Amino acid sequence: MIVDYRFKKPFIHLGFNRTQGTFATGENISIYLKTLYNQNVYEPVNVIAGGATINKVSEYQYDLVYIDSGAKSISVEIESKPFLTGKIQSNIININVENVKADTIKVTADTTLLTADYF
Amino acid sequence: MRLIIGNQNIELGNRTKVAQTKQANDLINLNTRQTNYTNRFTVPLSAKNQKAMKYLGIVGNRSDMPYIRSDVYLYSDSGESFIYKGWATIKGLGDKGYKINVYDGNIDIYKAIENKDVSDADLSEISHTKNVTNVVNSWTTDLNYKYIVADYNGKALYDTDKINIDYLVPSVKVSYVWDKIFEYSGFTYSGSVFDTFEFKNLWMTYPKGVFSTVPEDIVYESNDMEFEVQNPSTIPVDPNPSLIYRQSTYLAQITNQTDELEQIQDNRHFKVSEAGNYRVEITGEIKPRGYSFYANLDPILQVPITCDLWLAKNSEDKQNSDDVVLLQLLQEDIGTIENFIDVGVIDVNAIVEIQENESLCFVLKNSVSFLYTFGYVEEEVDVELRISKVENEIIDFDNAFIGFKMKDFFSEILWRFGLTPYKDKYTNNYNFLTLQEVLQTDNVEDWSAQNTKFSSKKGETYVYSRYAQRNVLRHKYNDSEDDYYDGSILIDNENLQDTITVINSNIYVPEEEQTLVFEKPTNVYKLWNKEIKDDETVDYKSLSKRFYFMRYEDYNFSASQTVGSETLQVEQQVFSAPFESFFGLSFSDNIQDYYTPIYNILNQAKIITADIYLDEVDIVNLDLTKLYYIRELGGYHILNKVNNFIEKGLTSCELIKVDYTPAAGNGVSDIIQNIIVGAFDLATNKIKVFYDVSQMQGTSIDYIVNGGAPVTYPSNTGLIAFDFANNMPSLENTIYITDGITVSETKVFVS
Repeated sequence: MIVDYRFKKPFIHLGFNRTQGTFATGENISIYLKTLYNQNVYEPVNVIAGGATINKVSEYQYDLVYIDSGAKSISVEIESKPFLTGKIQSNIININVENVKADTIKVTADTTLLTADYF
Repeated sequence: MRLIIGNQNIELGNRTKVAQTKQANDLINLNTRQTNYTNRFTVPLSAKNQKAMKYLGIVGNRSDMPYIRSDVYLYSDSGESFIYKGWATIKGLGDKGYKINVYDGNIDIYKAIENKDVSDADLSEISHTKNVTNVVNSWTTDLNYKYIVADYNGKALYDTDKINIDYLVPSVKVSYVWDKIFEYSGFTYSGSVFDTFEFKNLWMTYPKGVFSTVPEDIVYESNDMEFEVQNPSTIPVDPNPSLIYRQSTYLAQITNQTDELEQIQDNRHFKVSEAGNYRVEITGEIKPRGYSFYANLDPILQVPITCDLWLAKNSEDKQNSDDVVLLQLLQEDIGTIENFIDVGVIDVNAIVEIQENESLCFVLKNSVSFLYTFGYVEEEVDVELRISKVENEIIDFDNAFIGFKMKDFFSEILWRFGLTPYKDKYTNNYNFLTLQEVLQTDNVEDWSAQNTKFSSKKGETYVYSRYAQRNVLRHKYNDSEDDYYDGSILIDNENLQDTITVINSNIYVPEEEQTLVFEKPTNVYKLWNKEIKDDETVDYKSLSKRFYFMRYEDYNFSASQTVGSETLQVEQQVFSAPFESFFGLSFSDNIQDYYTPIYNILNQAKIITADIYLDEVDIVNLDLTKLYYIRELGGYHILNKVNNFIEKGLTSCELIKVDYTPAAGNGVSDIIQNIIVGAFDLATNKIKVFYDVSQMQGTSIDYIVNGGAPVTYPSNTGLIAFDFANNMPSLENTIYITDGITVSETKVFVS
């Protein structure tokens, strides 16, 4: 049973255990690590999110921003050197990042990047 | 041994034995956490001790020692600190001396918050006025309170689809309350769980239904009003110039029932005594009449006319209502000339802001002015006027949390996350850990006999007498018979009783069924009761002393949404709002997320009492978050309790075995192919481990026996050989290997 917990696979989500979603370019995407790890034994979490700007809020929350649109995969890996676990991979979060669109109800934009299309 | 109480050295008698018991979380009790304590020991009635106790027990003394906290320090003969800043309780005075107990560890936080309400932590900085602006602001700003949209069983919508803030309540961020309690207590805290989504997005509702306004104070009331210009007894034959093109009339009082106004002038102009918002209510049924003139200006015909009712201010100098500057339309189209239906029903309910020294007046005006001149008004139902002072409700969290104990709030958090506090001995910090985090420690102490620790096993039990086959974590429900969100820890042990409740929460849960009152389904958190009266109108009665936990999630409306106060008659448009979520908040969810290790332990419960050789250093440095490996007992243990350590020597310890067995899937299977144990001599066995070399890269392999430190074998050939103790009797041992990338399964060998 101890080995169970030493090799416990990390679970990440977008909030409310969600593992997929659609976001806009430039939008802040919060990723949460639900699995608890003894901080004295495990290395800092490594977030694998190609193309994203990653801001670490804490060991259990990371804020990502994508500038490019498209399908994206996000995962993390964690390792305990004393236990020689090797890198333990998390589940994968799949998201779609879309360019910002203007609609009749609401325009979302930020001060650094505004994109619009003609559709 | 040296004892200091309240900065005073206490003399210990030759026979004084201070026995220390150390514990943090007795797994036998899920709903409580434990603290370290000593036995009740006696210190002699020496002159020095009497002075230290402020002469307690001497006739005429005024010693407060039994009633106050006195810091305690207990040192070993060698100067090691057994107890640092503990609590002393002077239990009594016998013929042999003062009887004392000492506590330390978790007791500090519990003592600091003992008998204190959450309101004592001072939440005044989040007090605010309940109005539309503040409600919407809480949605868009990161405040420590938020009006989370939910069905609180009040009038959630008005005017068909407008979100009614009158029946929303604020929720306070749980992490904020947690911080305030620690700030109040003077301690700090740490722990991974406090950085998780599950803790940060956790809110607690205001405990009662609270409207947007306090009960209104009536400052003027009259059921005897009139619209001036009464029905003339005769129709004038000659033209009356004063009637020509007159278009309006004043509403004036005849008598009144309540008059707390500053002044009433000419029975028409009503001046309040202080500035503020006022509700104006005017009711009645009238028949407004006009005169129809032809070219010769003779009034020929009295006709029904349609009028508008207006509010004006500061018009005392206007004798003729036609000269008044009309400010606010209160009601239009009173009376109609269509189909000869000409009774106008007046039903005005308006909020008016009045400044100091302002007066109000009310003018009924012909709305079809170019056809008729205003004639008179017949009253079918008496016209009534009421003016009330309107004050916004002030949301006062301090007041709301009176009676809600800090200790109860503290316990609710520990229960929901399966946490145990571990106090740092020399600082004011508490580190909160789940059992899973404790089991993940690499801080293992070897208390095997070879290290002169384990001596003998005194007993072993398999049944936790305080548990049952089904151990319920119970919520609070509006219907006490409900249990739909309760959780259970099941123990597969037929020798236990059937069911027992191990935790009783004081926090309510929402109703079982959701509602569709809003655009999306929401849970119902009852803070109002609906009473349907005989006339089928609904009366909403506020409920109290109901705390709910919830989370929120921002929701984007399909179109612009109106949110407002029906009472205050203010509204605003929004595009999104935070809606409630009960995600992960039931005890059945909590058990799945945080109690699995406890479940595993309880289902293979092995509680071992053993004599362990402990010295002063062991007690001084005792760490209950460690795991203790004892070869003679077959593996790893949590130290549940150290019983009555007096001095260096054998001490009874209570240990809970935690299996060190691999679960399926952990480590790569079928790497270790065979393990051969060969005797070398009476004390030593030769161990050979054969493994699949094709799955191991690198030039060397590490092997780990019994969870200890890795040992590097300098080659990777498919065989590892090493010497190992030949135990009598033989013991099971575990081993796994790794090349730093791939980790094998764990196998067992006997040596």
